[in-house]
Amino acid sequence: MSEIIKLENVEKIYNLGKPNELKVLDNIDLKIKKGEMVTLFGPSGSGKSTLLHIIGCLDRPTKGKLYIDGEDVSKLSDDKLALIRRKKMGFIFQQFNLINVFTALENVEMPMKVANINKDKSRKRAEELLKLVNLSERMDHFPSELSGGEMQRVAIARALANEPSVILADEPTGNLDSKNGKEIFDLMLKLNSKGYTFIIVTHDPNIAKGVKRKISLKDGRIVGGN
Amino acid sequence: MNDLIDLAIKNILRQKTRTILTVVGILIGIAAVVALGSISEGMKSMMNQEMQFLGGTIMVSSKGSSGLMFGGGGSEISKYDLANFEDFSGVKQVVPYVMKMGQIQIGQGSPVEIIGIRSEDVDYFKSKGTELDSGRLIETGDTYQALIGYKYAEDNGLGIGDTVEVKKDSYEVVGIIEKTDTNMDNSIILPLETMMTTYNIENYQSAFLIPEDLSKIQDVADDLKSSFDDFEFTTSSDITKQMSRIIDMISVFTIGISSIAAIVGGLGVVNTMIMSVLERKREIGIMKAIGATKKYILTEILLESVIISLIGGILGLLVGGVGSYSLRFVLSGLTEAKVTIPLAVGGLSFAVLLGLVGGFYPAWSAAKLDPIEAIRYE
Repeated sequence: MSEIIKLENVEKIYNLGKPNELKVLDNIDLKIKKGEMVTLFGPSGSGKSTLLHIIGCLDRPTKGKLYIDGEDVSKLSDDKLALIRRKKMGFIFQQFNLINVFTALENVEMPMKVANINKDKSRKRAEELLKLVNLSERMDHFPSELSGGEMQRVAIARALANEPSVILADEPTGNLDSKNGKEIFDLMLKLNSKGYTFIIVTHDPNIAKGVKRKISLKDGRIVGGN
Repeated sequence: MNDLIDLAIKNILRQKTRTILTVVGILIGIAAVVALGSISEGMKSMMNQEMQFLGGTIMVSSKGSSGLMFGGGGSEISKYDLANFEDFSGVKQVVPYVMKMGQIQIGQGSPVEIIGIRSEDVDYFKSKGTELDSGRLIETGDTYQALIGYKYAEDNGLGIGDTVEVKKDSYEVVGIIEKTDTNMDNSIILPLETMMTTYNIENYQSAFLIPEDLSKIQDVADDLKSSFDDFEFTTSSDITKQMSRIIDMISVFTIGISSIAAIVGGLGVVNTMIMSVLERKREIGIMKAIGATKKYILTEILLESVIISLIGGILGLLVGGVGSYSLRFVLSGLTEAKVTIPLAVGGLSFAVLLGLVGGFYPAWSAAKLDPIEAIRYE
């Protein structure tokens, strides 16, 4: 299988050249193949969130190279990175991060609106995606009318909207009880079996158990799972 | 773009009270610009109408008189002077006249203008395209006969054959002048000699000189100026220039003052948009994470501020229009307030400009938010 993500000697230093300079990632080499599901874990401060942000094109490496689908994106401008995120990345957050004034359906449509996809087409796809996450009955509900598990399912549907190459999840079950957490993980497994690639930052032992490839970080270095 | 407008409207409606207050800020500013601007527009159009009437003539008045067409003065031009003007080369016709202001009547606005002209000069009015509404003109041999303006007739319920009282003398109304939208609408025109008897005056107040060759009007006026030291000769273009300068000063002043109100309204937009961006910082971060570019965020926020100020502008235009209509009664007779199309377009463009300028800083600060930091924002 081909590599979707490739990091070469990636380093991230905050406040470069200042007295409070902080090296968060050091010499990271990593390859993730299409269809894989991997977890990033490690103690807090180990750099796993920063790594996820860099892979998700929300942040740039200070040194080294990041390839997405073979394209070097490590030096792209903010707007070029936004286009990469739009086309190739889906995000799932611990806080769900839905937009409160929009219904579930409108939230799922959002990435397609941003990508200027025609209204009928994006409406249809959003409905299909909400059906896929078992929320067809709740399409017109606002986030405040949904449970945590339901909100996270809307967020997953939103992450899938533009057929991303990779789905990045930052503690996706961190705000859910174990039952809802399990349901969300099961949904991710189901999507993974359909070919979606997942990179998950998590402390959840259930997820850790259920995923084959675990990449562990310590002090900004990969110490296992590579 | 439709999606963006939809999104902008949704966002605007999130904080209804705040939006309404911001709209009211713009509304007051634009209403002030439109209402006050309408006064100078009204003055301009009134001046143009009056000047059209004066066009092609040289006004004579004695130096030192408050002169010109606005009454006052006293007796200035003797019959002897008049004969001198009539003989002057280049002058075709001399139209002497006397003008007095009638008494101010409560509830009537400006006082009626009472004008005395010679019956042979009455044609002069016709040559300016002014027609009678009914009746006939003053003719040679008329003494206690009068023409009256359209508004004066209407206000006083006068018709042909009725009598108007001028200084205890009675004049018979023989004709009513059609509506002209100038001061003439509120005037009484009497045969010159009779009027001078009524008022017990011997000299003419002023006169129009009509040149033989209209294209040489300025030359004739200059010749007259060098020949008669005691008189002022003013062409309509001189008056237009002077009045335009005054009107322009009034315009700059009124529009300047009202623009301050509108700019304060614009600051309200800045304030609202800064608050709105701050409240939605996290959402903006999410939008950026899912692929919104700087331009997308910038456009969306700018749309919000432009929509707010455009609504303020449209409502301000309506309120300003009503205000301008009410000003008509306050200023009755002095001038009419007029909301012209350029004024309306100017008012709306000003509102949009306020939205763009006021929204730019908040929109730009939203557009360049770091998504990671913004998403973490509580």
